[in-house]
Amino acid sequence: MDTKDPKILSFLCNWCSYAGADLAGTSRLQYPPNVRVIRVPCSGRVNPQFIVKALRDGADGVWISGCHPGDCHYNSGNYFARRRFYIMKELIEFVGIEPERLTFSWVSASEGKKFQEMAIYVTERVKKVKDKKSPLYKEI
Amino acid sequence: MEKVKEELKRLLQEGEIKGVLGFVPSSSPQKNRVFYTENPDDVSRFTVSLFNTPNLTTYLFRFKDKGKIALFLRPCEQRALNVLISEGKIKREDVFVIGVPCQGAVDPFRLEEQVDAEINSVEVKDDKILVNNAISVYIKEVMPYSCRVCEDVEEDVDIKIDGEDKRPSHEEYSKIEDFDKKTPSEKWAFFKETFERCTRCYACREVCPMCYCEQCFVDSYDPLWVEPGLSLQDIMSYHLIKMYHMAGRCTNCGACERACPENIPLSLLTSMLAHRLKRDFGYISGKNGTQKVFLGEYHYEDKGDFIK
Ligand code: SF4
Ligand code: SF4
Ligand code: FES
Repeated sequence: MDTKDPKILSFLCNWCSYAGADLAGTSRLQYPPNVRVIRVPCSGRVNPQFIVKALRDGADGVWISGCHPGDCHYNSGNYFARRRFYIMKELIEFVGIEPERLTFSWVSASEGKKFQEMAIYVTERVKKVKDKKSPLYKEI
Repeated sequence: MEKVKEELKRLLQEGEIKGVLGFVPSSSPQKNRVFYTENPDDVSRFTVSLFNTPNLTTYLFRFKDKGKIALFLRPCEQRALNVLISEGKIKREDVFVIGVPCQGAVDPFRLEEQVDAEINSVEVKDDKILVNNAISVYIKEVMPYSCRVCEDVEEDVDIKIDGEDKRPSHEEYSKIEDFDKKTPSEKWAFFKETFERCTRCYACREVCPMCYCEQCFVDSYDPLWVEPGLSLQDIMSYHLIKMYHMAGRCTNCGACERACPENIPLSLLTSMLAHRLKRDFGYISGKNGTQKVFLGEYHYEDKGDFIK
């Protein structure tokens, strides 16, 4: 992979999107290697502060994916997460961080194809941003 | 006001309230001093004006389990109290709310910046403040933006000071909507220009009634949410995360902006939160003391169109 390619940090729910990634893999569906995966037990485990921290420390984009509404294995984790993500997304965009850097999705365990499409979409979206590094990035 | 003072005096004498928390004039006329007393003879010293800077609910935590405390609250501050009540932090029966007719609240640092001279006297004349009997300043220009987009409260006060509620006209968040139209780089440039001055003194946190955590995220080593230092990135990380914690809790009282010695327009961020919650969820923080906290509940039909 070209080192100039964007680095995208993704948080995938163990019960759905992570399994979706697995299915994409076993079905031999190709998706861009830019997506680095962190497996989480539920989208409700994703503290939106992770987004700030990731962009600050060098991720070019962040992608968070969980179970479809109604399908969360803990019943309501994704409903709470939806409100939290909404707030952080509005804040991020309001201060002038490019909206393309942040993507949320619902991908189920059976949606290997959707996983592939999302991974391509997220990568292309981040590539479209003119400045390579996010304004929040600071070299340590 | 006199009637209210008499009543407070009586309540103190008869032991129905433990103390009164309010403001008294200080040596800087642009900034009245927070004052607490349990002595009925002190009650006459209290004053209510545009120059009462902090939100008194912040101080309530210091009086926990002390008994019933009376305090002067503007509508946005009553909403802050409601949030603290619905979060279980304060009991309604432990406070005696004195409703204050609001005219907005002046940012003392901004006033100082505008007049650029030592302030010896201030006098309110209609929509202006006459400083040192010489310089006249529009109140609107020395007030945080939050005062212009103030939301109503379902009033639940124990006593009310007579007087006209002369809150500045409601602008329906036009400044926020205009800001939304900017490009990302224009937005970032604005925050660079204004927030780069932040020294991370945390006055905005100390003064905030919603910032009651014993350990703040900025003081955490592991995880290190925000690096120490004054790079714009770390300053913005602090403000982004702080604002995230304010969602549905901040009542846009403007106390943080009035406390900021660097005149950073914090109420642009707090007003943005208020605007989004009202527009997309019909939610007004602290509208009453029974409403659930925004991030503590959900509805199936909540906004979700931003998720693919
Ligand atoms: S009060 Fe002002 S200078 Fe101090 S941390 Fe807050 S924004 Fe920064
Ligand atoms: S963040 Fe500022 S405006 Fe909001 S409640 Fe706290 S002090 Fe008031
Ligand atoms: S278990 Fe997948 S979002 Fe909660």
